[in-house]
Amino acid sequence: MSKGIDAIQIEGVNYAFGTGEARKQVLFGIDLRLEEGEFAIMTGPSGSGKTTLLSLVGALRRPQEGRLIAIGHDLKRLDESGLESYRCQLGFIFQLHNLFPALTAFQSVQMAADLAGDLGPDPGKYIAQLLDRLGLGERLDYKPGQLSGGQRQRVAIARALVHRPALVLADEPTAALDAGNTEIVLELLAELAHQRGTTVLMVTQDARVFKKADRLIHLVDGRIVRDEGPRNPANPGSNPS
Amino acid sequence: MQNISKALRFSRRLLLHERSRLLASTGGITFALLLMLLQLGFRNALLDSSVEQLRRLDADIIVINKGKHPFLARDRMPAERLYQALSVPGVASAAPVWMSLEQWKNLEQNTLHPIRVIGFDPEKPTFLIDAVNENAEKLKRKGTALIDKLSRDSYGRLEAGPAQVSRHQIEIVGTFALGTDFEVDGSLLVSDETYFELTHDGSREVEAALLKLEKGANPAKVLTTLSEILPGDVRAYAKESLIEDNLRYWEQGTPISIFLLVGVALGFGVGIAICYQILYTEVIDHLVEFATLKAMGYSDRYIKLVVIAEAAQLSMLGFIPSIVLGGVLLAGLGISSGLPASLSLGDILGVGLLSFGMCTLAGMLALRNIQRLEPAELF
Repeated sequence: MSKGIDAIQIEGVNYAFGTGEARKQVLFGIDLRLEEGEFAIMTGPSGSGKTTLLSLVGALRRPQEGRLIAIGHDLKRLDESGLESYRCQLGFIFQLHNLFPALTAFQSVQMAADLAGDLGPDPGKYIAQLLDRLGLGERLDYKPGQLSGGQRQRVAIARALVHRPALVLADEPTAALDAGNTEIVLELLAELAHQRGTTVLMVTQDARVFKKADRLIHLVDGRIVRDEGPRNPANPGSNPS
Repeated sequence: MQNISKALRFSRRLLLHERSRLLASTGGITFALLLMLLQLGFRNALLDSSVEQLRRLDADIIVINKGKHPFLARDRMPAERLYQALSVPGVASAAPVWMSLEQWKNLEQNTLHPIRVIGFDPEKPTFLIDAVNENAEKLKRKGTALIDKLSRDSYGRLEAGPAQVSRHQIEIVGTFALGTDFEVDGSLLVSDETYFELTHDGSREVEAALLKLEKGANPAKVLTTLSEILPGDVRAYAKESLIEDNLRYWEQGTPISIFLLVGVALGFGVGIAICYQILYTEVIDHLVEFATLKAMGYSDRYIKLVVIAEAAQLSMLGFIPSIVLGGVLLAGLGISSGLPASLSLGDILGVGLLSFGMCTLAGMLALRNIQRLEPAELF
């Protein structure tokens, strides 16, 4: 559950691509606060700026205007080593799995685990358990070429979560998953948020997952037009779909 | 250190994933290194063969014509210099050596081949070759000779028996091992008497005087005295210094050695091009995955380390077969040509370093593409 401490503070954030006549502003005065342990979903039509906002929070783009503080880091002021250390505390889930074809499922997840500090006395066992939880217990030594699209995506999800990140940023993580696996992934994310205090910010158009979120944020044309939450998990109504 | 070991493990996995690409890459790098090794082997053959005869002369000091450069060039000096040198305190003996290019007839194929005929006094210590010293007594008989068993096959039978040199019938009474050089493919050792008969040399000139010093004599002092006593048309060298002087001549004073070094540089360039192509493809093929690593928090430094580790491992993978192949090819060349085409440990280590440098440089060039990594494009 959320702890009342801000994990993300966004104030007056504007963002534009290009310069001069080619300049196209995609975010307009975004103000948003997410608390630790909140599971928020950002939705909106294509081109509404949700992915740009996600990449700004992930420090994959530099903020241009406004204030953006995430898990205690002022993202405008981070130098290169600060960026690396900040990114180590994040869990990214991309639309595409982006797995190295040379690495097995276990090795891919281990790459992320290597960046983490302490994963307990037996990190290998922990990695295997996580993959098993995602239905990949029998596929630890399989390379991406030997896995289905959904299995690859689940490996990528395990890779994003293995180091127990403080903040998970996910872009359409369930797009390649069937209903059963979508449920497993959402449960895992909700568990991280509610039991471990991980803040989850997910971009999705998948209406199946809205009910799992504590918060539903709608973006249209670079502006937050509706912010439903914090929602009471006991009353998960107000589903915008 | 932990990062290096992780990068090495990761890069090894990347390399091993595509076996056929790895095999082709290793082949390409092996080829480039082989080019370098062969050029070095040829260069060694040139240098070693040019001084091999000098090395095998039994002398502390060698007196030669001042203009005789290199040693195998025929520039004679008056025989009197031999006796003048002998008069210097500290000189124990002075042995003359004559050299001439004559025609050897291959009696089986009826073909003529140039051969170096070296004349010497069998009574005096002249060569550091056991087979020559053991057979010196036989050479005292006029019309006898020893043939270099490392002479080219085109000379025909290289064993005891009748032979023909410059239309003179001679008898081969034994063999010795010296090897060929870039001027001639074989050598014949004869006594002074036989030499004059074969070459019709009536001059009172010698090719070199080999001086042996008395026990306890100071070579530097003897050299100084020789330079004072001997006329300006000759010069006395310590044997080692004459060898170094000849090596320097072939290394720096002739285009062939430079051409061979250019060959090494060319191999290095070809290697960089091949290795760059391999690593460039590797980086481009995995640009998205590398960008993902960066988004996860891996540093640019780590990603560069991975590419450099791939380069280093490729250099090792190419190096080992190139040494084996290079050794086999040079040994084959040595057998077929009689040239001492071999590689020293220094050459092998040097090519190992060049291999590492070549692949690392290519890796650094390929890394320019990593600078373009933009994890934001992943979303």
